[in-house]
Amino acid sequence: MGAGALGSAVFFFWWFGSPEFTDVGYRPEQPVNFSHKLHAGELGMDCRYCHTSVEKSQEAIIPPTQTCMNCHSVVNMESDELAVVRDSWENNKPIEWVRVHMLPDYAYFDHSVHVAAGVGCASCHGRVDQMEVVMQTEPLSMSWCLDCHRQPEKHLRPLDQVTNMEWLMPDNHDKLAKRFVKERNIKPPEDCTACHR
Amino acid sequence: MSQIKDRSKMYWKSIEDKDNSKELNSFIENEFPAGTVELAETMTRKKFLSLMGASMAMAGLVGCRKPAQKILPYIQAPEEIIPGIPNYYASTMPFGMNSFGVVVESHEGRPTHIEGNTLHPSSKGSANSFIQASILDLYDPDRLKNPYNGSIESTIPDFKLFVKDISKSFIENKGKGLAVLSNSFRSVSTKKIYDNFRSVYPESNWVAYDTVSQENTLNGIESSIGVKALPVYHLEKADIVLTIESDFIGSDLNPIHNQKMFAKKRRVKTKTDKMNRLYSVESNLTCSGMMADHRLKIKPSEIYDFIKELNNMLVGSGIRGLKKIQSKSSTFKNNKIIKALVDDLVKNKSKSLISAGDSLDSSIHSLVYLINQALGNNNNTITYHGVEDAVLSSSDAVENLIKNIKSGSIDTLLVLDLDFYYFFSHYFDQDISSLVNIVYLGSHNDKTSENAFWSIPKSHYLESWGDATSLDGTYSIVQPLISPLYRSMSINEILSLFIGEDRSDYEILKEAWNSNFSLSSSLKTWKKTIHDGHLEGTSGSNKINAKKVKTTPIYTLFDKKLNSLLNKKGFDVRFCSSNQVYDGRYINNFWLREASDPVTKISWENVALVSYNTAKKHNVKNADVITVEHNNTSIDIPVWTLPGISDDTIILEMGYGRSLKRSVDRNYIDEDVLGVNVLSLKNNSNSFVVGANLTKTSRSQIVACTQDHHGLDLEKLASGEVEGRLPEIIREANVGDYKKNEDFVLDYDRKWHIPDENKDIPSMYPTHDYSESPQWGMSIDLNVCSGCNACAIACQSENNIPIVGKQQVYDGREMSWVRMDRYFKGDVDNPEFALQPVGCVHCENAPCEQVCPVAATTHDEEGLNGMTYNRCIGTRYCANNCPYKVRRFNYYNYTVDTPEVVQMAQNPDVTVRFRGVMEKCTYCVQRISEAKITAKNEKRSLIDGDVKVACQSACAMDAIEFGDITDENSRVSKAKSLKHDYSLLKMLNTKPRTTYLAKFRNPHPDLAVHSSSKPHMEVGHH
Repeated sequence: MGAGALGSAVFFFWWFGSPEFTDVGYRPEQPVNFSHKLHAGELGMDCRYCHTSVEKSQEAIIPPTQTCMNCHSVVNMESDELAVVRDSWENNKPIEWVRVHMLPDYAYFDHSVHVAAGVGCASCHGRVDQMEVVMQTEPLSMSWCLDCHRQPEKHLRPLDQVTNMEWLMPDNHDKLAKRFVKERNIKPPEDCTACHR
Repeated sequence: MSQIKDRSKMYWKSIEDKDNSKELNSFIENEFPAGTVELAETMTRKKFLSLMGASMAMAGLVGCRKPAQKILPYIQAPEEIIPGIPNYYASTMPFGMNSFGVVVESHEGRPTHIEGNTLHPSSKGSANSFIQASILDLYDPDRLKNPYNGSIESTIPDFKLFVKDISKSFIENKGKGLAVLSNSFRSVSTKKIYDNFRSVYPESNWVAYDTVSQENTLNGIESSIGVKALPVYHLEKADIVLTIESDFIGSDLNPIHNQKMFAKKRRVKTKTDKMNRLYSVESNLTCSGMMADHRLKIKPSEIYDFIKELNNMLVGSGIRGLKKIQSKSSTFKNNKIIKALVDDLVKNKSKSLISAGDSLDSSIHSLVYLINQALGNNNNTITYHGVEDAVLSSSDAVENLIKNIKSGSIDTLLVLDLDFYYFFSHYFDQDISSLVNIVYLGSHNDKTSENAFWSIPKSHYLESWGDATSLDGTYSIVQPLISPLYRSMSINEILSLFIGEDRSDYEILKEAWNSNFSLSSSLKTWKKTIHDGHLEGTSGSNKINAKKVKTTPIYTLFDKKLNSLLNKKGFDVRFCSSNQVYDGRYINNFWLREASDPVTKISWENVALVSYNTAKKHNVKNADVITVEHNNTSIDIPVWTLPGISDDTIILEMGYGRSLKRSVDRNYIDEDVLGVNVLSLKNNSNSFVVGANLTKTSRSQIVACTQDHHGLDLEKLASGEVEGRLPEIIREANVGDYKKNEDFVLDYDRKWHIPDENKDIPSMYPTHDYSESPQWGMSIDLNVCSGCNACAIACQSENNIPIVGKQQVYDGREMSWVRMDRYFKGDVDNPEFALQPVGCVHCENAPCEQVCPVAATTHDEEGLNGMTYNRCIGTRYCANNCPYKVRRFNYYNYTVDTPEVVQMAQNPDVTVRFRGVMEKCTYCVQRISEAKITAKNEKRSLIDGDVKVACQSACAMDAIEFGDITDENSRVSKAKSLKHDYSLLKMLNTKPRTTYLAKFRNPHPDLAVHSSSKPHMEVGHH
């Protein structure tokens, strides 16, 4: 009886307490109804048009208001949806986006090195080009990170396909991946010091 | 065995250690000495648990979701900032008659870390503790934030109106009744405004004053060669160095340059390398003195006697250009050290260097100039540099100023960045504010700002444009990294207001440099100057040719001083600048305050230092409060015994006891600790007084001294049978003996049959595969380490190490990752010294990892002993099992009440640790990661020098090398392959990645006590 209760309690927290259960599907409401589906999907804009530093820095960055205004000073100027953006631009007030993909402060993740290795955006962020509102599709837990670090081949792409949301794994991927690992000198660290410092 | 016993305690750490004190033994035996008492006025464990229990019960599982985080992007992104990638800018830290070129790391516009500027001649890529800690001053939460008119908060425009008003009337009477008091400074732009000020107000009085000044040096050299100048040492050319009351590699004016150049001649790599010989003559114990091959301790008043003896013996040895000084008796007759010194000086003409401390009398400086000239050192190992663009400190002028204030002839006193009340209130019997209106530009809410008519916040040097000139004449740019955090002004701005111009600091700088260097023609030069931090090619621009001078007047002056001090009774009291607060300006810099003093190992306050004999004679113990009395003035101060101080001498550090009004309370920091202001005992122009009295009071107080904290396990072992094993920790040899016995570091191992670690000794621990590159390792050269603390402060800044306060330090809970061990050797009266910085040595067979129940500390493939904070549950087993005692435990949540503005100083690439977590040196794993990622992104492999750890880049002696030990050509591999490389506590087979290069001493052959070629011949002291 006692063992059963303990067992179910352990199962309860193991299942329902895991990031897979608590974090996947997190889709907070954003101050602007920005549609990735429209911009990245239908209009086919490259991720890096807005997330400019993804190849250089640990951060991919949320674009400055100016990036929105590059187009929206000529396109859809009157749209109500864009009131917050215009307000930000005119009154020099940052837009308060809500963070979707949250890593704890003690984990140090670097975008640039993953892009350089050929990990696709979609591998971690999902098919953002199909999302009206961005949501978290992967658990971003340590074991999930390690899964890939232990078997990076499955997630490596040709370097020109990293930002391509529609990229499909070719049939000869196993062979290609082996080449990528060798060419790019891929040895993902599995040590604590790689991310915790 | 008895033979071992005889040389037992060859090395010892403190008097208590030497005497085998019971209290100390119990302190050391206990791994975590102070138990776990709760701090007063903080949340107790019980309260915490009950509150947490209640909130957990109420919150249920709703609280599982992490709180939403906001991301606030730029509106318009600045071109030069990429979030996540720090920028580096050159700037300059002005420091009196010198200035240091720095490179400041800035994260999204927020400066976080300071290092030396490799292009700049006065810092050469390294930075001392003052420079690095100055970043914390920028974020000091207790800074003055608003202008005050009396006690009423005001604004800058209101202040401007006020200045407009008074300058009108002062311009009419040509500045009569107006006085300015500032620190001395060297700056093209400030000097220009100063000149303008003097022409607008010709009858005003401008006084510059430093308590730690070069006034005597300047005057002494002026009376020799007719021009005010300061010496720059070229230690890379000097085989024999003599320092007289001078800490040339420590607290003196040009320490970084001196350290770099000194190390060049000090470092021994092979047996053919020549090592310089350092003689040190001093009353206080300094970093230079600890480094010395021969140290002669003297009373401060015996200095004239010493110089006389030196001079006469040089004359006796046939050195021309000097004259014999007549006098009756001498304390130093037949002194062996002086004999050896003179022998060396005579044999090494034009390759020696005599450095006289700035505190010494000007007559001594004149004579030392003469001796250097006679020895052929001037223009060779010493050059002299003019100070044309400086406004110089004058103690006579300051006395006049005080007289004038007292007589009421000064109406308005503009005080620039100097706590007038702290330095001078003991001169006044009456209320100063009733005598004069003070307009104060200051950084803190101190006594002066409390009493000033107007007080204006002063901009930090990283908040304002300006320029400064270095000792060697390099014109340097002070570039701001951030706009002023508060409503503050720079010195240039406030002066420009007074001369009716009201210009910004950038305009002032640009105009001054354009007219001085005609840069207006070339925007390119101007941009390059700002980029480099200094005007290229100006090093040495102010050099003055040293020449032959008339000897008679110098000797006449010297004789007069010599005879005036003949009758001396009672104590000599010498006043020194502090390694923590300097002259008081760093009183609120907690990094500097908490880092234990390089010499005394005391943190947070000052003490009266006395010798072992003096303490015995007067029956005082460490931390007893004594009264020091001189000329009817007295102060009470705790006493501390420091081997190496001369008898009947009291050393007092200045700068403490400066009280500030704090705007933020912090739980863990004992903010009331101030130390004692000793200035009331000091005569204005002299660095020591004679004839003082010492009386013991019945009180004693807590003094936080780290000397006996975190002792290596072996020291504990050493208290029993194995006392003789202590030489394991510090391995040293006379450089002469080294030539005969190259692998002397192995003598010890051979004696105790310690196997070589490279041969595979069976280990209980699982072995790692360390074959793949890179494998990180460090080498520390004990021969050039001066113990100056620069590495410890660099680490504090880089790794977000918390401040814990005096009580916690007293309890042995200081958090510093680098521990500067200091050992005395031999005679308690006149010991030798050995210094050893110890951080985590990253053992390949790490004992800490074996006992961690949660695998929070683990090895990585590159040989790092990692620490995963979020895994640590705080059992402290690892610290217990670490033989090097380098692990530090967060007993409290020290960072919980870190004010927001101080958080800005923290490194975003390093986790801020929580209560209950163990931490230690990580080999700056964040820098390693950054270098690896950069290399990967650039599609290349790592090269030597890609990773520079924080302590390594700070070290001006270049004692620390770090890099890949699998790369044979890396600097660290080369250092480790030297014959005198050894691992600490090798017999434990921990295989540390940090190894040490043995220490050498280079005694004069006549005085050498030979270090053993065979271990059993080792002798403790002479």
